[in-house]
Parts: sequence; C-alpha cells; structure tokens
Amino acid sequence: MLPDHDPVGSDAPPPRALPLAEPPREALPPAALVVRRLNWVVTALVITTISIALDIVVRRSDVDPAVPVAVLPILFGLIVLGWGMWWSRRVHDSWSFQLTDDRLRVQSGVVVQRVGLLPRSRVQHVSTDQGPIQRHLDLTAVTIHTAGARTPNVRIPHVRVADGERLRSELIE
Amino acid sequence: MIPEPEVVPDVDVPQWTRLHPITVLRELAGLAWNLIIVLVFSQSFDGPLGGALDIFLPVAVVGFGVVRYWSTAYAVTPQAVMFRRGVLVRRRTELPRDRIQNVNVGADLFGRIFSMQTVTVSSAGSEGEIQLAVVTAEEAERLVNEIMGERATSIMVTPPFATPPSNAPPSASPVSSAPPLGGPPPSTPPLVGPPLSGAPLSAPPLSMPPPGSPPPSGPPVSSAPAPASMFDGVPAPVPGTAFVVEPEPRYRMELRPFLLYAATSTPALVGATVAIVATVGGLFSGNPAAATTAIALAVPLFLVLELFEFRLDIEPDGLRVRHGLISDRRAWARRERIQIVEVRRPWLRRRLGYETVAAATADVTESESRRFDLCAPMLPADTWMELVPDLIEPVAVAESDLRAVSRRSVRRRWIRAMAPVVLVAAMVSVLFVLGGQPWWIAGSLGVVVVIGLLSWAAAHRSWRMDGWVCSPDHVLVRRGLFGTTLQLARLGKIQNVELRASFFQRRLGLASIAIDTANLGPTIELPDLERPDAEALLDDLVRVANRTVLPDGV
Repeated sequence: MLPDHDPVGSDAPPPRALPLAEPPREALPPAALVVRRLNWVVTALVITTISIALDIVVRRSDVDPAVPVAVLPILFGLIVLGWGMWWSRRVHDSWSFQLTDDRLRVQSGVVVQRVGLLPRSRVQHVSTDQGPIQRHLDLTAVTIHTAGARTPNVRIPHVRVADGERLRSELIE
Repeated sequence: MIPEPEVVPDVDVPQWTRLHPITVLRELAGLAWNLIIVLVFSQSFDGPLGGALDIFLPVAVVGFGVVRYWSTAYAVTPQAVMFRRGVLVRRRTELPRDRIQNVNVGADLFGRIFSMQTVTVSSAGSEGEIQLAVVTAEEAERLVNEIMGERATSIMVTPPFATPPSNAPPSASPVSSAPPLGGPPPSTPPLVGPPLSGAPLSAPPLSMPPPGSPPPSGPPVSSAPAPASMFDGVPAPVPGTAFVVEPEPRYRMELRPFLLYAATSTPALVGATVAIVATVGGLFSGNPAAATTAIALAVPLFLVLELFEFRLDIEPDGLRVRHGLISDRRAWARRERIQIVEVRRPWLRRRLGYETVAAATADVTESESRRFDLCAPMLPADTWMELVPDLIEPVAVAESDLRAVSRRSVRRRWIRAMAPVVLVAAMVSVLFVLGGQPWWIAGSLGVVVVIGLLSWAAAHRSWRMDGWVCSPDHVLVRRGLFGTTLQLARLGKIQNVELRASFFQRRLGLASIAIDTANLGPTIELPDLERPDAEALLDDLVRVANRTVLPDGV
C-alpha cells in the first residue's frame, strides 16, 4: 500500500513475502463474560432502586398510576438486565488479541469495530491491575503504554493472570 | 614505583544551585492567601494569646516560604537535570538528558517586574517536568544552552563594523533551506576568535554574506518583506566593546497580520459577540452594559496579546519561538521530537489569505501551556511547504498529491447528519399528533427535506475537501468543510495505529485509520478508505514503524 518511491500510488503492488505461520488469535476467557454480566446485574439493581424511589415520589404527588407500586420499576430493571446479558455476550465475543513477532493486534467493538496494531518496538512499559472480583476469578487487566500518550494506548480487560504475565514479559523483552 | 591509580571524579555528582534570592518574594506571594487567612484567624483571639498568634502565625508563614526557597535547588549533570524541593516531604525529580523534549523560558508579571525568567524542562513522561522559577535571564540562557547541548545563538561582532571581504565562504545552513534574507545562517558559530579564513581580526565575521546579497536558496517565509540586512534598526556598536546581535528570525508576525489575527481569533470573535449582545441588551433594557462590554473585549485582547511580536528561529537542532507583550514566552523544541506539523485554515482567515502552521512535539506534561505549538500564526496562504523542511525535514508529499477518499463516504456523511434530524422530526411529529394537530407533520417533513438537501451538498463538499497521501516516510491528510486542517506526520513516529469501522461504514465497505503519535494533540485520521485498502495500509504502517528506531520511543 505504501509506495517505495512514488507518493502517487503505482499500478502494481509490491510483491509480498509469503506470510509465516502466525500465532492464533486469543479470545477472552469465559470468566470475563461472568465479570461483565455481574457488572450489568449491579447496574440493573441500581437502576431499579432509583426507579422505585422515583415511583414512590411520584405517587406522593397525587399521581395514581393504574399499576401497583414498584411494578414498573422492576419491569424496567428486568429489561435492563436482559439487555445487559445479551449485550455483554456480544461485547465479550468481539474481543480478541494476537501477539506476533513485531506487533500486538487487539480487536474489539460491536457498534464500532476497532482493530488496533501496536508495534512492539513502541512499547514503553506494561502494567496490570486486578480488582477483587477479578482476583477471585483469576483475571487481570493488561495495559500497554506507549510514549507520549496521556492515557494508555491499549488495554485488554479480563485476561487470565497467566496470559497477562506472558504478555507483559514478552512485550517488555 | 607503582603510580597511584587516577581517581576519576564521578561526573554525575550533582552540584546543587539555588534559585535567585528574589524567589523568596515569589514564594511569599504564593503564600499571600495563607497569610491573610492566618491574620484573620488570629483576630478571633484576644489577650496574650491573640497577641502571640498575631506574631507567631505570620512569622511561621513567612518562615515556611523562606525554608521552602532554601530547600529548593537544581543541578545539571552530563546525564540528567535534577530538581529537589521540600523539607518535610522531600521530592526529587530527575530527568535524563536524552529524555528531555522541550525547554521553555518565560516570564510572567512577577518575572517582568524583576527581570527574571522561569525555565521549564519537560520530558515525555506524565510527571516529567521541572520548573525553575525564577532565575536571571543570563542563567536562563546558560541553562537552555547547557541542557539542549547547543552553543549560544548570539553573535559577537568585533569592531570596527565594516563590509566583509569578498572571499567570504558561502553561508552554511545544514538545517534551513531558506535562511533569512541578508542575515547569517543559524549555524554560524559565535565568532569570538579569528575568522575561519585567517583574515585580520578587524574584519567582520566571514560567514555573513554581504549585505543585500541574495539568499542561497529560496525566500524566507514571512508575512512581510524581510529587511535588507539584519542590522537594519540596530545601533552601531561602540568601538572597543562587544555587541550581541540576534539573527534574523525564520518567521516574524508583522503588525498587519497580527491585527488580522487578533480580529479573527476565536477569543476575539467570542468577545465581540458578547460585547454586541451586551450592548444591544443594554440599549433595550435601559441599563448600560459598558462593564460587560469592556470585559468581553478586554479578556480576548489580553489573550491575543500573548502572540505579540511572534518570531520563529531555526537552530541546528531545533526550533525556538518567542512571543508575548505582558508575559515574555519562549519555547524550544528539538526537531527530532516534532511528531506532527499541522496547517490550520479557518474559513475567515483563509478568506483573508493566511493560514496557521503549528507543530506538536512529544511533550506530554500535564500542563498544555508548556506544549510547543504555534510556529507561524499568520502565514501567507499556500506557503506552508516552504516552512516544512525547516520544521522537520524535506518531504516528498504535497497537497497536490492528495488522493480522494471513497465516494461512498458521501452517503455515510449524509446519513450521519440526517439521522438525528429525522429522529427529532419524528418525535416532534408524534407530539403534534398527540396534541391533535396532525397537519403540522407536513411542516416537519418540509424541514427534513430542506435540511436533507443542504446536508447532501455539505456532505459532497466535505468529501471533496478530504484527502490523504502516503510516501515511504510521511503521511499527509486534509480534512474539513469550512475550515480545513492539514496534518503532516512522519511515519517513523507512529506509536499505534487503529482501524475503525462504524456500523454504517461496515455496510458500505469502508473503514477509517487512526494514527497515534507521541503528541498531546489530535490523532491523525484517514477517513473512509475502502476496507481492503485500509487493512493493507494498516499492515504497512506497522512495518514502517517497526523499521524505524526511535530514541526513547519518541
């Protein structure tokens, strides 16, 4: 795609070398889906609680809906929970990463698909972080830092601890 | 007799130097609020206790300021720039010399009053900044030269002042392809000894071309004709004394472009709008809006005066920018640290025949004010290519080489613009129906049709303005509808690349590529490429990045 000497693209693409066998793309472990769904459960509970509180406040202002109290908020909460279960599966399935000799490829996204290629020569340092739920499920989040970014460039959430250690050691070498 | 081994002193042992004693006043000024609070607090107590607090608390605050000054020191070693501060909590910052991105020198109001400077040294780390406030101007200049590893840029002219001999060697300018008209090239060494050709000491520097001679190559980039000689307006040196002369800048913003910039800058336009609204509102309401109008005009004027007498100098290893009327701002940047060169063309400025050139370095400190940005605020339109070789290096791409993005991009832009319009129109129509006025739906449809036609025209024009081109070393991208922006980046500076495909892009077989470099500014985005082209380009960009070794990763 990049020309050797002519900035205005040439007719014939340069010959490419035969690709070497690449390591397979790795998906996130099933435990990552559990973490995502737990997050949605908490979100649904919070939304339901707030909705019940609003329902009570509304009923105190002489508004008398036909349905009993808390029915609509609970129904709304169940809808949010159902949506979250479905959506977290879609997001979980969209994630994959692949570490080759010269790059780290990370793919993610449902509505906006993102394929990030990080040259290994640009890695400054790698950090991992682990919350209490992740610790219980033997998961960790890996963040790869390059130079000049105020925020991390690449973050892979919820990988196995062993995979995180492997990524960290291979990227730093 | 066996000689004793020579003890080699550790060259990295820091020689700590305190800031100028006037810094105590600055520290006390910074503690002024604390002083006021404790004085007010002490008034709450009467009797001997109140009297004791009246004396003890202010003394404690002043003493704290003095102790903090006393604990502050800096050191420059061959390996690093060091800074220490604090008594109870001692903080020491060490910036390796090869990690330093920028060195900025400026003077705020305090510095202007006492003729002092603040030197800020920054690196690519998120907390990599050392601020030395305050030092004398001479110390600041010495620090800059020592840290940046360059000789002094001032030129010593030995008297008597006369025309140089005709056998003067051509001006050597390894960096600039267009040295200032009539001035010496930036790489001219300080002539404190015999001239290079062995001519008598009484002759002026041989590396200066005769006054009025044409430049070696290309005209300088200036918003106004440069003076015929750099000595225009400079008083003749007194025989027997040394005289320091600054070289002609690579770019200087003259008065007329400055006034146009002041009139067309965002702060000025916002201030003028607020002033007009305040004045009109005051006329109708009968309340004078003079105060609001004055503030609305004064604040943007204050901001614009920051660029007064803007000048850009090219040095062997980098760039130097100086500007400011109330505050004297100076910034240095290493050439190899520049990540992106950006050409900004706001609609009004473009109509007036100017464009703005800025360069983003890998400075990643928390304070954006330290970021090296503007290189030429008001450059004559379509002349930015003349400045690029001096900012980074000669490039093999030009605006005429730009390739258009996919034509299906027009459809995507139009859908993206119309989606919220259709959504709002649908909601309004539902409200009309519920409100018993269904005939207003026709009005909503009419508005949607008109906006749709205008959006299509805008999407088509936006598609025509966008373009990109890649050479083996650089990428040039142009984007924008009314105000266009050109971004030129070195492919070797790539940190990360990403392919993005939204829902609509996937349906149309398109994708965008985002290129991250080590600057704080925006990412370079190549929009709406054909998906196979985008994937191939992604692969090539990573290969180029891996092929390029970057010192310190930037």
